[in-house]
Amino acid sequence: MSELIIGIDLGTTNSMAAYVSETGAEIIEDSYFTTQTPSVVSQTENGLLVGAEALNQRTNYPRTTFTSFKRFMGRGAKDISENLTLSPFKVIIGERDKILIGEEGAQLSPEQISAEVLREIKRKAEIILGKAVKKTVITVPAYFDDAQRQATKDAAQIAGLEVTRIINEPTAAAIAYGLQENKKGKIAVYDFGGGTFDVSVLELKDRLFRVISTRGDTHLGGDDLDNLIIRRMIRDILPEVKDEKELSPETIQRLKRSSEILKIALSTNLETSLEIELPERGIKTKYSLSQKEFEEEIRPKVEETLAHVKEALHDAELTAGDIEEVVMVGGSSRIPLVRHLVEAFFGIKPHIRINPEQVVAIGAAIQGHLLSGGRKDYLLMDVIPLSLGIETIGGVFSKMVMKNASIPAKVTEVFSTSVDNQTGIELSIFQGEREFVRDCRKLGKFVLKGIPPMPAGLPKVEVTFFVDVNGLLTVSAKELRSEVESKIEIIPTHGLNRNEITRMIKDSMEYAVDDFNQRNLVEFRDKITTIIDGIDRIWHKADQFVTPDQIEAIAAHRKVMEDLRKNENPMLLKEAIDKMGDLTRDLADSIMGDAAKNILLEDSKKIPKT
Amino acid sequence: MIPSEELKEDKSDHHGHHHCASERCDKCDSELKHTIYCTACEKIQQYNKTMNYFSIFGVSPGYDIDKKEVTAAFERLIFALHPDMYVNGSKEDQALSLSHTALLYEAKETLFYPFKRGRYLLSLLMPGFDGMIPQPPQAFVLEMFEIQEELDLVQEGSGSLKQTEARINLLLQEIDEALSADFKAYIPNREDKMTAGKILSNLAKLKFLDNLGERIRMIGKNLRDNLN
Repeated sequence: MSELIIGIDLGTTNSMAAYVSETGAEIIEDSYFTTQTPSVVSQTENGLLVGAEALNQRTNYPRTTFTSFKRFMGRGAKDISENLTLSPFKVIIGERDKILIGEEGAQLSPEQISAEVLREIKRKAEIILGKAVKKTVITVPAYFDDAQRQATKDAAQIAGLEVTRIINEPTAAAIAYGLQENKKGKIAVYDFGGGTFDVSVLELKDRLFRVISTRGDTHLGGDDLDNLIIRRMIRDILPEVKDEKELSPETIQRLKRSSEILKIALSTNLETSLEIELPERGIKTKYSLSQKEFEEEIRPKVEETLAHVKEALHDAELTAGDIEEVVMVGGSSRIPLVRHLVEAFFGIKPHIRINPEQVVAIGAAIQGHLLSGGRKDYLLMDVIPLSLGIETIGGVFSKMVMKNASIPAKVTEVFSTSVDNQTGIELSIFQGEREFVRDCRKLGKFVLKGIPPMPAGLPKVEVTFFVDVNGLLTVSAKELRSEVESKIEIIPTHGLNRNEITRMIKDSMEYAVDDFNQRNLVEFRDKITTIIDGIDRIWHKADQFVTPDQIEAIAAHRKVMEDLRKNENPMLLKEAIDKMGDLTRDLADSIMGDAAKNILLEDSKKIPKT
Repeated sequence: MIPSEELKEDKSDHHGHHHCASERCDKCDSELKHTIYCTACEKIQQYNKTMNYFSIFGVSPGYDIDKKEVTAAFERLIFALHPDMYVNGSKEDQALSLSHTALLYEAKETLFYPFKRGRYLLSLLMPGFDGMIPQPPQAFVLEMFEIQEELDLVQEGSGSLKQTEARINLLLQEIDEALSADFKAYIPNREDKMTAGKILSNLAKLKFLDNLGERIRMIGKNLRDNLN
């Protein structure tokens, strides 16, 4: 058995983990637990809540319930000049251009908040799999730049997870699709998620999956569609509000929740309505929205995604007609208008058989399996999404590694000095596509010292950019005449510095064991109560479905579980829960009925292992 | 820091000066089909001075290449070299795998683009050539100004992008044919300074046209945006 490397999709709205089991790649969940976790963290009087529990608290703790924080990962002040008036929580810029979220005195970095979600997923995965989870393949939007990738890696490390590989979300989806459908040819992955949009064009060839081009926008997703609905609701039911800043965090959280419900309902209904309650404004009203109205609101955003698709095709030197399949990924790809416009653009029905919310985690798990040595039958060639380079005279951005270059990539160029007897040079490293560095993103800077004094232009400074398989950059420089050299990993100009990360990792390890046991104990006790309640509720008709022997065994184990509730050993509790799961499987299956089972089976369609 | 165009030309360490057909494996001493990897004992080869972007793929150095042959060799080699195939390998193999995969990509990229291929080939053939490309001939520069003016018109919405593109493609084809012929003459006769000069001049033109291609791309994008 190869080492366990799970796949994690750290999404803007939802996160989850998958692994490769005996039967194939699947989401890590069982009858009682799941790693599918809303990406929500809430600071409450009763401590920090994560996932569904945190989401439930958003109107009770509107200022300290954090959602969509993935948007702030690896970002600085310059990047969040966007409109934050609809954010219920505070986002401020701390020292060194670092983003901090939350109320004064209890602020957290986006990396720390993401780490809470990852810690929760790790914990659940360990409970479900019954063993330690240490390594992961984690996914990021293809259009994430170096700083955003680094921030994701840091978050995983803070959560006690070693990142074996960072892979791009659309690429992960393509792996799952390619192996499941065993298709060849050019495909496009259209990934419209909660916060980001990516499109990748790939060539699937025998065992080789090659990304040809990728385009996207890390600020274009379901959240933006929600905001359009929220603004419409404000116009309709709060006409007196002239400035969004007047809205309280609680009102915003309530509007946000309503907009999500409306949006989801409109994927399957032509018209929907719900009651909106805004106690602070004394409003309790029924609000209706039709699919047509919704589509009018969001059409420009969907068209923006198609403009990216056009550019990705152009970069790949292909046309829409060359694409044999369009794989739809991400929750927003469920919207009928999105599917219609994508279909109209490519002239083919998009592929929607694979669950668009789970396919990324599944693909990451398959890649994890490959990287643990579990299989060697396919290979992934991915690319960097944005060009990398340095600032040269006049603020010109001089590209070294071009966008869509396959990784790992190494590029070496020789530069010289501009002043006589210059003994040091400073390199500023940027990422982007524009001509001047002021329009690109600064990744960091780097100094080469100790060059012997020479006339200007004489030193030969060889600069090497190396982009590893994770898409992360290392830069080294060497003066060829004197052999003076220097090397750095890019330290982002903002975000956490290395010391902060090391400290956070240390803290997380110190508390990890106690914390783990304590949290599991609470969770298992809770679960036992739920299970016992469930059994009691259907007990009167159990004999219709299972044999007297089974009934006896369940009753006996029910007693054991009741006694265990006071036990302090979480593993004993877990064993008892698992045993009850086995004992009641027939019962649960029969009661659930065939219709319900079929729906469940459809969703958890597994990918065969080869 | 000077963004010196002359110095900025990439100078890779992987320039070898002779293509030797009978390289042997570091480990099992079999004759190598590709200088980077031994297909007999499946061992990644240490980098050595005779390795070049042509020998990696097992093709002889020349301006005319068979892209299909290179692609086929590339696809075999990537499976042999990629770091994902060495997850349980030795540290040494893992390091070689990473650097050689980057080298393989760079080699393929170089062979697939006429300017890069021509400049690289010349660096293999001409001792002392450090990748510096001179200015193109005056007449050519004037022609480029004309094309730039055509493109200005297109940007203002009055010219035809297709027509200008066709003009450029014709130029590219002429240069490509000239380079092919000149390299054929130069490879057996490296003392032929005049042919070397012609090659340099055509490479300079190619470089100019590559930059122009970038501008056409931008104009094309704007035109597409306006259609949206």
